[in-house]
Amino acid sequence: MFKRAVRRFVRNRTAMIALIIFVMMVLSCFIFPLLGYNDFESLHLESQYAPVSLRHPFSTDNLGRDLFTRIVIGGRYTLGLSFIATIIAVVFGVAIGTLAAYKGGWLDNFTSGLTQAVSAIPYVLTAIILEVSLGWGQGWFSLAIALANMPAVIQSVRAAVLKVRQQEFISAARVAGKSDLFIITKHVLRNIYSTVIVRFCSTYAASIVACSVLGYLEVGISSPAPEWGRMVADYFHLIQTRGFLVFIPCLFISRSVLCVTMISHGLRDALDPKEYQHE
Amino acid sequence: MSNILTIENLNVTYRTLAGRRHVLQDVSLSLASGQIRAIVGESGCGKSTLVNTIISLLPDNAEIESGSIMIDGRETVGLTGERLRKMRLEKLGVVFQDPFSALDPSYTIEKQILESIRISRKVSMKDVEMEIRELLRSCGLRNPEEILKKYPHELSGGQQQRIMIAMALLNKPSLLIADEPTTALDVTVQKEILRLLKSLAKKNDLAVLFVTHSLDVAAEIADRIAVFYGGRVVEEGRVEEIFSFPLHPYTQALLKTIPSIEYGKNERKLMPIEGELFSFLNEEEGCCFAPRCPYASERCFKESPKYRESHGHGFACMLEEVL
Amino acid sequence: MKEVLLKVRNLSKTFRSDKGILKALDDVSFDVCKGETLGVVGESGCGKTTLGRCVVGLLKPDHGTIVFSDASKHKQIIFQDPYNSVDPYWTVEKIVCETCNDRKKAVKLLKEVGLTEDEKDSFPHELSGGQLQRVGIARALGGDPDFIVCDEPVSALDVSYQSKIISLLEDLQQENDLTYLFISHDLAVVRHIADRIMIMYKGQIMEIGETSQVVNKPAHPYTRFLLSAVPAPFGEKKQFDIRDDEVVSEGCPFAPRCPYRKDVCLKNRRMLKEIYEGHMAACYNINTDGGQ
Repeated sequence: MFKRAVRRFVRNRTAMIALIIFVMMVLSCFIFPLLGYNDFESLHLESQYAPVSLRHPFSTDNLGRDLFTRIVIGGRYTLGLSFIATIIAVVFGVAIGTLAAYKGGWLDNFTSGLTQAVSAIPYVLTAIILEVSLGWGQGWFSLAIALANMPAVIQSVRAAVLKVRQQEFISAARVAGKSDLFIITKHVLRNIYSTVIVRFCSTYAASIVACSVLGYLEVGISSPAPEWGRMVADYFHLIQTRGFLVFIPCLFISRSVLCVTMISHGLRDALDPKEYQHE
Repeated sequence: MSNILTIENLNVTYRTLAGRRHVLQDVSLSLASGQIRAIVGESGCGKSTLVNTIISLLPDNAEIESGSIMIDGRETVGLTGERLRKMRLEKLGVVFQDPFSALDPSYTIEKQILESIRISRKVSMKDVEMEIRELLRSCGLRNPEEILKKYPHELSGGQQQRIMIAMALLNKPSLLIADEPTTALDVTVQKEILRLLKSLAKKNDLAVLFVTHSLDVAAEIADRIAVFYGGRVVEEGRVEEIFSFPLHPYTQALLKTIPSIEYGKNERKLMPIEGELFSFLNEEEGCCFAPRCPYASERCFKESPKYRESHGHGFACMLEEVL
Repeated sequence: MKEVLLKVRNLSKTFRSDKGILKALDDVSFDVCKGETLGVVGESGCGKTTLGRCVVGLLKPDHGTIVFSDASKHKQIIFQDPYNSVDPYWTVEKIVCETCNDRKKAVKLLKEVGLTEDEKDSFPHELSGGQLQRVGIARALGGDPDFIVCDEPVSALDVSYQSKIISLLEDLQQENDLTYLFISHDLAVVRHIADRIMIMYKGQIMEIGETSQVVNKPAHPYTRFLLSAVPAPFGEKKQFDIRDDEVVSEGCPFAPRCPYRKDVCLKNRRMLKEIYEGHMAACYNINTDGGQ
């Protein structure tokens, strides 16, 4: 069953291209710094806006810093911090959503009430509020984004679990005397894993956006950290004269969001269990 | 009596990953006004494909290879666009299995009925109120005024199905297609719906094509039964003949497999049909029932049997003994 | 006198929702003897499924007791929708192992219900509805049950699979000395398989007795109404017309539709009354109009 999903994913050209581009982006964030592209903060005012060369593939900025180096190091910030945020959001979101939906009662009412209330606030705003109240620093930064994303994860997991819980194989397991823990781990989670994987990707996409917006607003991350959103803000006053300085980090933000979204669509189509009933 | 529906040598194929699959093969049927014809068959026998072909709602990967469908003297195969819409509107009424999903939960019954009238004529509720009430009453709904104001979920399954029937009859069609209309209902309600369809057919001179999986229900309502298996009509005839002298081994087996209210525990042994249902996915040569048929000979696996008919009772089987 | 396996007394269960209160079970009492099949028949919403679920312990009744003759008796359940009742991500063998925890036994059970060894590694979507229902039966057997609730086990199946499953259930009952509570809306199926039959309407028992007694000599008007609705191609059609009055009944739930209604029917609930050995009905008309 898993093999078939992989095969279907590989056949999906858009998703595969997106995956390849994204993997290359992530790899370059880790490989290029090892090849010497690692100095993103020291100033070289003499080489301001250097011509494009192997040393400066994207030229340099107004302070003579290599833009390419800043992008690859910035990728570690943007992609890395939002990845950590996504893991936190999904792990806790799945745990809370599953428990609430499976147990029902006041726990479920409380959780769904809270998630609904929180998701009424635009979630980037939630992230900003959380970051400001949690504290400065990268750890808190990821946590803030994670918490802002969690309501959406909880809601979709909850919906999926409610659907599974009604199925009669759950009743059969209960008649067979299985514990709740067994039923949750062996039946429920197994049946919602496609929802979780797809949710993971869409949460990641949302986190990248949130990370950039927070970076742009200098909430939690400040210069000279070359977080992509921060870079956009750093160079924004040069948009009319040196537009590429703004354009390139924007391109990387949108490209990574687009890739992750494409991958998540590809995964959704590949994992949808309805599909293999028709095959 | 004129023929309302005439289907001749209809062949429909599906393109699947595994290649072309014949879902309907050489299906011929005719139906006169005032007549109720039952199509009986199990899952995968092609009965839903037949319905979808008649109402031109085949999925994209399906194709009508050959054959013709005449509704009220007009060819419908190949009709598209406005002409198809008009044909559906004027000639056809359809009742589906699940009335609840066929009704929009967010509108009152009144709105939905009015909406479907407005497709063909520009009217307001006042103009047609009497007409609608009369129609609902004739469909066995005793308080039309009240029911019109309700939402679908406030009605029982039987009431919903009656509304579906009323809506199918709005434009006075000549052919009513009922696709398992009672399967989702209780027996007691089923009986009422069957009775209603029967009286409507008689009163309005309506031709009814009644699709069901149950021979008993078919016998209860229809004049003639066509038994489907593997996309073919394997047997066709008057109800009494099908039940008293079934000719095709599948029909014979089917009759022995149904429990009856007449026999109690240990009074009658059921004779299950061996093997799995025919599936279009593993299409083979020869008779589609051969793998499960107790009388199958080698020839049955090689040749497809011809459909033979005498005295209005036809069947498709090669065995001489059964004739 | 046969040994009583299950005693149900004064069972009540009420569901509350936004739409109001639904009495799914209203003071239901009956016995099931060892080795017999008790058929439970009624229309949708009559409480038959709730009853089955209470008996196997999936639901907790509000009032009443469910007592097995021996606490060590195992109970199991077979569900209506074979697709819904097995985990789509588990192999057939694993599904059966859920109750018996023994692979060898699982394979043996699969053979017993008519599946081949090759099918043990299949996933549910590779099997037909009839085969899946066999898997569901094998799973139930894995718990070495003495008592199985069959909740509409054939009504979601194609006609040519139905009789196979019915025959299989009959054979298994004889071999393993099983007791069934067979829930169905289909009187013909229940007539075929059940020793005794219990007719339910709106959470109450209307009539209970030997199947042949109830079918041939129905005492309760509701039973007669149900029987008249069964499609039977060439049996003589017993016409039974009901009325449809908008009256509220605090007594017999069938009273608003009953053509033999008396005033007392709307006020008081008649308890089950014996007509003939073990054949009981809850109707005020039994003495005057009863029997036939």
